[in-house]
Amino acid sequence: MIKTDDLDDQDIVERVVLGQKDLFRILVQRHQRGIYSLGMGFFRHPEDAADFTQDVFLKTFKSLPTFRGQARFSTWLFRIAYNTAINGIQRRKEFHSLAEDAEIPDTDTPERRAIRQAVRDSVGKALGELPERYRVCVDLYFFYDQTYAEIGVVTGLPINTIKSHVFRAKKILREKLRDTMEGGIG
Amino acid sequence: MTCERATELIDQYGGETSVPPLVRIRLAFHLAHCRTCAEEAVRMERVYRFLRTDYISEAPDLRSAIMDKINIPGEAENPVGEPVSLRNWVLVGMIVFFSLLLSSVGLEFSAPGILLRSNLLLPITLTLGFGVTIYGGVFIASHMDDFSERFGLGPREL
Repeated sequence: MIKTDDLDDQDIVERVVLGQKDLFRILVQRHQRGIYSLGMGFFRHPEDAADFTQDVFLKTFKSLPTFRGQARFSTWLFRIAYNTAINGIQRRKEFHSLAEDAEIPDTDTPERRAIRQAVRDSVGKALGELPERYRVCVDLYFFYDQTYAEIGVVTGLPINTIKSHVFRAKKILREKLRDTMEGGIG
Repeated sequence: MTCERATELIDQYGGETSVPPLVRIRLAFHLAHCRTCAEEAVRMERVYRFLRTDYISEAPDLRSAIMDKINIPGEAENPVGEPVSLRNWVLVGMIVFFSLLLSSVGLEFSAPGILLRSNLLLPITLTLGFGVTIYGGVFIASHMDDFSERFGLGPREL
């Protein structure tokens, strides 16, 4: 018997399309955190983010037969999520980065605390300099493990523009870390 | 390579999995003999890894809620490939039929007939027949299930 952990997203998509609907649960399990976080960025309210997450996965399920596997499943999912958020009638005007609202857990080591603080300050500063529609790009790069090309697919924005904004954010982050931290990071 | 250039490359390619080989070699060479830049590179790599693994907040478990919605009949039916509705098909058919019919009485259409001194009735009929047959064929083929259900043409239960 095949373990579901052994199946990658593409395998699961193929099986779901062929009728094993229950396997979609695994895709939800793997990606709900990311989609929920993105929802929080757009809607700023846990209930709205949860509704958004359900809506995105429902749309994704309906569209599974059109998934060609040319991009990672997560990229395709984020594209659906991004479009859903952009078209959401309740959407607030500004996207809020994960960095801006991130709480600093008490359990963090001093080094991690310093990183979180630096990330909050520097990403916040970088975002402040960005046009609104490019803000989500910085988050997708830093927190959601998306490449420049994938961010281009998700948002439909030019790759070179995304690169330059992320580069700028990285530079600010490095300088901020250098200013606030001494020694290495554990 | 200067430290300034190395820092620029660290910013540009930090956190990336695909770095051009030449850049990788040049940067590695610089980092091998510059402790400050090497520490900076290591630190930034750790930061990027931290951001990607430890930053996204916990989400409520929505698996059951989503699966429940998916399992509601009609809620999550795949809209892709749904046939055009019967009403739209009839409407399109009427437009196609009348367009073909009316085109035959147009001045431009009858002009070649007058010029050639020949009756265009046969080509007009053929064109109309061809258009209507194609339309009808596609219409019936794409609505087989609909028709079977509507007229009770499905397989008999034994």
